Amino acid sequence: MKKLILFVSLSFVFNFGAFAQVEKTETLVVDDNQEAELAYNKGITSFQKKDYKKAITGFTSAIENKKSFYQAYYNRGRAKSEMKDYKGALGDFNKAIELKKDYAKAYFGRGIAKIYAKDTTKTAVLDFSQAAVLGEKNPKLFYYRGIAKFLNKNYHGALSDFSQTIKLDTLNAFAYNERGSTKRQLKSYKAAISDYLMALKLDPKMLVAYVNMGSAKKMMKDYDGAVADYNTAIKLKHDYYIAYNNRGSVKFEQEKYDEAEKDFNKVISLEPKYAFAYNNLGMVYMKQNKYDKALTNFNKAIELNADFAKAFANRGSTKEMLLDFEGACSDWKKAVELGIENPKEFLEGCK
Amino acid sequence: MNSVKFIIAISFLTFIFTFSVAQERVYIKKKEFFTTDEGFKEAWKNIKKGNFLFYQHRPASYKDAIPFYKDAIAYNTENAELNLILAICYLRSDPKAEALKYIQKAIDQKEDVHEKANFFLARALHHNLEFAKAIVEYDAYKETLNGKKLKEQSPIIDKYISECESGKILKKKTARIIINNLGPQINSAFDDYGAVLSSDGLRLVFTSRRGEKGDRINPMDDKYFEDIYTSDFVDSGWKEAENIGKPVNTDWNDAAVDFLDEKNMLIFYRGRERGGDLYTTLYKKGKWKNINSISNKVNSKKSKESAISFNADGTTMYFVSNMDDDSFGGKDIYYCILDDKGKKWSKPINIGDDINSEFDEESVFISPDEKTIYFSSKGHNTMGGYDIFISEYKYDSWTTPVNLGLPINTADDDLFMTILPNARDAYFSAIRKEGFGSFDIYHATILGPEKPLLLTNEDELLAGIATPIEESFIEESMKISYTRMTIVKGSVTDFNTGTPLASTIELVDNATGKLIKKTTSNKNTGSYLISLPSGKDYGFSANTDGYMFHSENFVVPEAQDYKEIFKDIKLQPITPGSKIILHNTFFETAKSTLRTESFSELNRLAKMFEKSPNLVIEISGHTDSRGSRSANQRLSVARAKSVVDYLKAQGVKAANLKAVGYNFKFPVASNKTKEGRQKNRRVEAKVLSN
Repeated sequence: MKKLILFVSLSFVFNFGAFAQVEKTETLVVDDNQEAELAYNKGITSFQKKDYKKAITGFTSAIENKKSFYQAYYNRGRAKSEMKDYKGALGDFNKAIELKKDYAKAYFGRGIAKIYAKDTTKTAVLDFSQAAVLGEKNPKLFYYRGIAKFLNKNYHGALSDFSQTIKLDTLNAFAYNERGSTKRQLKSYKAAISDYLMALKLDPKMLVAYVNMGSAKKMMKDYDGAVADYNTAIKLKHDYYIAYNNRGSVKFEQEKYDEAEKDFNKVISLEPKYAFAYNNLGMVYMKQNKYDKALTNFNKAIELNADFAKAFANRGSTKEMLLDFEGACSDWKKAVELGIENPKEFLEGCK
Repeated sequence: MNSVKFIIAISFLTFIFTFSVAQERVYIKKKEFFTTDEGFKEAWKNIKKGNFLFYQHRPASYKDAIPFYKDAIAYNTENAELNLILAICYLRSDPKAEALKYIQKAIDQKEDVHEKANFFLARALHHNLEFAKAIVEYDAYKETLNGKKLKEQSPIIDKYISECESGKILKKKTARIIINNLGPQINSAFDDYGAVLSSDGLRLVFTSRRGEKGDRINPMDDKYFEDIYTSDFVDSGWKEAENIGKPVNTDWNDAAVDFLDEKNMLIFYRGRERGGDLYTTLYKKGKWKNINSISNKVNSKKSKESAISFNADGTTMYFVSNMDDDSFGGKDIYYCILDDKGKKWSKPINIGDDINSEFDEESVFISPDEKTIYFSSKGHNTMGGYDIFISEYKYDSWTTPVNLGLPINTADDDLFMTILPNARDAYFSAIRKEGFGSFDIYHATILGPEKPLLLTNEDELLAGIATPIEESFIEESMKISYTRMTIVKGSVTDFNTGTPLASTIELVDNATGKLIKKTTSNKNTGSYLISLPSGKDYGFSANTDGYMFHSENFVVPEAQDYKEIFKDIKLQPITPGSKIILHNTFFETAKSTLRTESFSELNRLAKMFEKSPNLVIEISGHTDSRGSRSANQRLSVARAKSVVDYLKAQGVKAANLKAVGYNFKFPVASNKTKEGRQKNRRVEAKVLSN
């Protein structure tokens, strides 16, 4: 058996030959066969220092030394989550649960990872509920379950979870923003705005809350109010392309096509692969009767996202204006195939 | 099924002349016109020529006068009267919209250039779709009238004003229709109109008043008589239109009315006899033959029948006639129904006042299912002249006709709407600025209601998704079990002189025989320090060249707290008489067999001989006092021999070794205690010589 003796720094003292004061703690030596625990604890230290990469190394070494070390799997899952490797995290939480069926924390952690890993959001809610049943007391459980419900379009459920979060943590700016967005999805725009305002009161630099508030105003057709909010967001973050894209859309609704064009071009300069902006810019050119330029932009949008239904619909309408009826019909057909309803009626005139 | 339609030559003229009753006189004064000698003579000559035509007061002569006046105006652009007269020429020919810049110039130059100046301006504005401004001018003109003139002119001016009111509303929305002139292969500088098409849209038959060699002029309007032309659409373009020739075309008016491509049948209008009637002709082997009157029911003796359109199975025909019977005013739209045997047409039935207004209707197109009718009318809410209207047949009646509006309709005449079965391609005839002159045939692409565009934007609705929150919760750390170390320290010195010595210090775990620690004492101070896990049995040795090594065996007890063990070691130089106890040499109980733990120490002893070849050492065995002396003597000798044998096996020469047994003769401790007895059981190495 490999012997692991940790002399802290004694031998140095000796080699220098000076009889330095020997600290009592320095005479403690780790017992044999604790490699797993030691690596695990080291991992925790690194995690607390937010050095997640090192933390993962520690937990991995712990697991190598002790295959049944479920806490190490859990912690490694957490570290991977913090590093946004949600798929990897899911694997670890799965393993932890396999090793310990009633492991509440692992269900909770897995729920969070499922939220962020693509395609797995659906079952996240189940994990949070299972964690709660098993006695998980983390107050954030409601917050994350609210997010999971929101993402699953269960807005009424999300609303009550976010309200519960706020009840437990009245200063949670994020929870106010999320609840505002939930209300927005439920079309209660005014109530949404008051939540966004609360979020901003708690965190005046919360960009998303400004943009969300602007968009709620946009939906209430308060275009000037919306623009003002987007402006604030842009002031706080000059390269916040989502705010530019939204502002451009409002300008478009206001039929201020030149200004909209500027905003969408700005988005593209900031985020050259943002297909939405090309689609919107194409629409501006449609309104300006610049059909060739519109076509170029819709082409670009589709090049960036081959499943971009709305861009197909819009490109079809552009081709119609260019009297390319076959092209128009095939684009509209594609848009319908990709799941949007609008172009169905356009297809009436197609063969 | 078929596409549609037609025209009658004469119908055009009638309305063009309607309001040219007034025969204005406009005097261009030579003195005022003159600016400089250069070009004056020529310019004045042009005015004379223009005037000659102008004062004939015929539509064609107005048009013919234009080039002369335009040449003249190049000499002097500022003459009010010349600008006025040019405006009048345009207003009475085409394109009427051209009049605006001249009448405006005329008024700018001379406010009272003519008593009807406001009226002309109103007309020009009207034709430029400047409806609101036109109304102002119509009103202004009306203000100048009184008495008989007012009474005479009010109806027409009020009609214009109401057209402008309609225009104001219609102008607010433009239908998504793209309009293209069919191009020079089809359209000429003369009237071209009344397009009818095969259902696939690839064959066009139309009417033109272009002149060809030997063609006659119709004295009624100074234009060439109508002839029928045809063209085919090949490779994305229309071929040069061809006159379909005799026998269909004659020296008189012959106009295309409808084209039933399934039957290869053309229906056409012939204006010479009986006030204008409709005929059919069949296309056989590349020629149009078999000319027949369409039906006596339709073709009345006196009246003029023009446009016609059939339903899908050819059992109903819609046509335009100026027959008096049941008329709602002017020309109206009628229909006839074929009897069940398919032989006799019913009497013409007026389509009704939903469609027919008190003003003229002209041209008709019925959709194959008879649910939709397109026609032109000067009534309803026209914005000027004939506009094209659409009406749908719902619940046993025609809905109120809807003006097709911009961009198809203008303030001038818009006629002969034909729609292909695809419902997207339409053809109509109109006088538009962008045309080749007079009526032209236009293609309209009807795009229907605007396709709503779909904006795409997103919000980062959830802050926690936009920026995942850094969460710190993890599982707690594990408790680690530790062992307390014991510190062994001391110094190594020369036994005789007390000089500090650098010595190799080794610690062996007796349980396993493995070396666990090796270090060297400081050569200046002789001090050393070693830490050891507590609770173990250790073999300890210090070794310096030229000295007898020191070895001992000790147990470090389990310690809860910090513990230090002091061990000062004095090494004896290798000189005769020096001796050491081989503390780490062990035997089987009561036997002379060496235990393996002893080997490391004995190896160390053997090494001393390598460096000092002349060294002679006595190995002596000692026992405790239990048992008989003789037995102990045997055991002590045997053990000494075992050691010597082992050393020999390690390569030490026999001459350098001496084995002796001293039984319990030389105790080093009391034999009364266990510890003492243990100390007494030993092997010693003593230097005899070197």
